[in-house]
Amino acid sequence: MGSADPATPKHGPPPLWLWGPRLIAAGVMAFVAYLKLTDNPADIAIFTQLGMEPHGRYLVGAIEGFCALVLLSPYAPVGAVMTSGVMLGAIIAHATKLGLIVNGDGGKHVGLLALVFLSSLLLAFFRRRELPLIGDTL
Amino acid sequence: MALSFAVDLEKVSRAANISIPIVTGLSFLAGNYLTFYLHFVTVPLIMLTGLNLYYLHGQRSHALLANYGILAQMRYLFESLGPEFRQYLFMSDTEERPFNRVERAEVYRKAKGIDSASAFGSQLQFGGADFKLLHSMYPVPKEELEPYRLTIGEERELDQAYTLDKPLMISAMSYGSLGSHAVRALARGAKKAGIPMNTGEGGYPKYHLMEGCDLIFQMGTAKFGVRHEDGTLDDERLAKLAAEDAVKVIEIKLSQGAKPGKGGLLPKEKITQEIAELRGVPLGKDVVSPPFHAECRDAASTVAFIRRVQEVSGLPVGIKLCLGRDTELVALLRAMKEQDVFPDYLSIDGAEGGTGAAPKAFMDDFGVPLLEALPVVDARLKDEEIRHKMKLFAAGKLISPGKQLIALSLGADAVYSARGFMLALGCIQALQCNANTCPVGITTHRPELQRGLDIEGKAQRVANYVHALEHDWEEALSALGKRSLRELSPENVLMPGRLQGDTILTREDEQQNLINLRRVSRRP
Ligand SMILES: Cc1cc2nc3c(=O)[nH]c(=O)nc-3n(C[C@H](O)[C@H](O)[C@H](O)COP(=O)(O)O)c2cc1C
Repeated sequence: MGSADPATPKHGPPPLWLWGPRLIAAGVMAFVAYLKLTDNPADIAIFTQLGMEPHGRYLVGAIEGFCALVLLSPYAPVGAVMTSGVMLGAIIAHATKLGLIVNGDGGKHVGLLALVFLSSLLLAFFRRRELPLIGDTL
Repeated sequence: MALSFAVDLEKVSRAANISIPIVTGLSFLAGNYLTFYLHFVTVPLIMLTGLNLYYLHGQRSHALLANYGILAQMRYLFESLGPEFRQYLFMSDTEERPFNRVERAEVYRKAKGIDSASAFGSQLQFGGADFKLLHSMYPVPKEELEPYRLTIGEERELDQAYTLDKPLMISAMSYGSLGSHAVRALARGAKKAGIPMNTGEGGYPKYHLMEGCDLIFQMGTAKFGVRHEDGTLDDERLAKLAAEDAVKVIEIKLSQGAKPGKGGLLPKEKITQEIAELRGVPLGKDVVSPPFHAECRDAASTVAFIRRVQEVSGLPVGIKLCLGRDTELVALLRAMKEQDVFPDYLSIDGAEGGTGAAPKAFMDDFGVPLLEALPVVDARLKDEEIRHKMKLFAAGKLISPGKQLIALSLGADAVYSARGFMLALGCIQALQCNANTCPVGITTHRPELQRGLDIEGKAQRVANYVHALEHDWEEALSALGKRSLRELSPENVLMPGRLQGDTILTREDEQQNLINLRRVSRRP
């Protein structure tokens, strides 16, 4: 009901402050994608620990880069869902294999992860009605 | 197809709802112990599980999703494909019966409070086969419109006369044909909207009374709730029921459009312990009401029965019937004149009317359709010079403002709708009202299906529907060049098969009016 309906009310413009989480998520995703794709030693260590070196690292790096692009495109809500998916994967990695402190970084990595996760969730939540297929039901 | 859809969707969706989290768990374990790559599958599965949990337990506005979870998304998916695909895959927007998608969409939009402006042009046929409204060259300014008021029982100067301030009422649907959630949502919605609700022939109105709306108590041929063992009227119980504050009007149902000449039918699948008690019937057996009231064997006895109910209840008393033979109607009206007893209203149910369950032949091939019946009844009442003795109501697929206005123009003083309100509740026309398997929880008693029907949310939709209709009536009234809904007359309607020039239909020219209306009734 509704999605085929030309009269479905168009959601108003998203609030301006959502640019904050949107830029944070996109910026960090672009940055970590760059690190992974340029053989950053810390990432090599992580992906070795996960048993995914090097293909997994390139794959995740590519996905992260793609997320950054989508986050900046008009499909930002989709990008936000994808980003939170990547972060969910990272959470699984830290919870099951890596622990909170990686390469003696004092938890910086996990902190960044939490920041991006939160940002993408905020963005996805506040613009959920724009999601294709499921938007009308949320 | 509709039936197998129900059974399958239920089983398949239950299997899906159980297996999604299980597969997610397995994927997590495999990712953990086999290879981390598998978490590329785990993550989407976790999100799917979350979404499904939200559909099932978190949201209340989509009954189908709450009952079936993510699989019901298929419906929304197909809807989102749009008419261009559906036309090839399934059915076009104007093809479905009894209500096509265009008609249903209008109710859905009104119920959800969405503007119903559409684009490009009407999807309906314009082959001269339909009734259309005739606007005036001189619309009436909005400020000059007069509010609607109709007092049932004013003819008899009753103390307990009942006044409507909207020309729409919720038509009879019994608790039994509807589940308790649906009854309560309708009753609460009626209260919010300020319209009365007919209880249907389901006996003592337990759930209706919970919401504090005004009620029209319907007495079916079995007289559930007010009967003696042998099916005759128990005056004492009727008097007691009529004394309920919420009960404002009594309706004697003589017949119903979907099954004229046949009594009510409640399939055994839908008889719960509680319903058996409220109606005083056994469990495990179809309940078939007799086709007639034991007291009503001819015109004279029917009129006498009307008087008895009027006297016992002290309330306005109307009768509901589907028009059959014209001559019998005239005989009934004459008997009223002879005994000087008139029902406070006469409600005409068109043969296209809905039902919770009826034999197919009766649904398809019996009775006069509303727009044919209404002008005839109006004309007969005028012929007999008793039109001023009672109000005239109409029902039969009057779910859009235009159709309602046509009925009001052709003689009705107010209209009833049953299925319009079911659609407002979220009915998707799955056509399973008789099977206790209604996928959106309206015509079922199964708790797991009623779960999806959020009473408060749907009550609001019922109220929204009424308010949106009110808005449209106002706009239309102005365009029709009339100041109040009560002023509408046949001059506002183009009838199929006749050119407008054929007729001069005005209230002033009553005689001409009657001649022309008779002509309608005789058209092939
Ligand atoms: C589920 C359902 C239950 C109904 N139950 C009754 C009933 O108990 N008594 C009755 O007189 N009519 C009953 N009707 C008929 C309606 O009151 C109404 O007369 C008919 O459906 C025409 O209105 P509509 O086209 O707006 O649905 C029922 C209709 C439906 C769809």
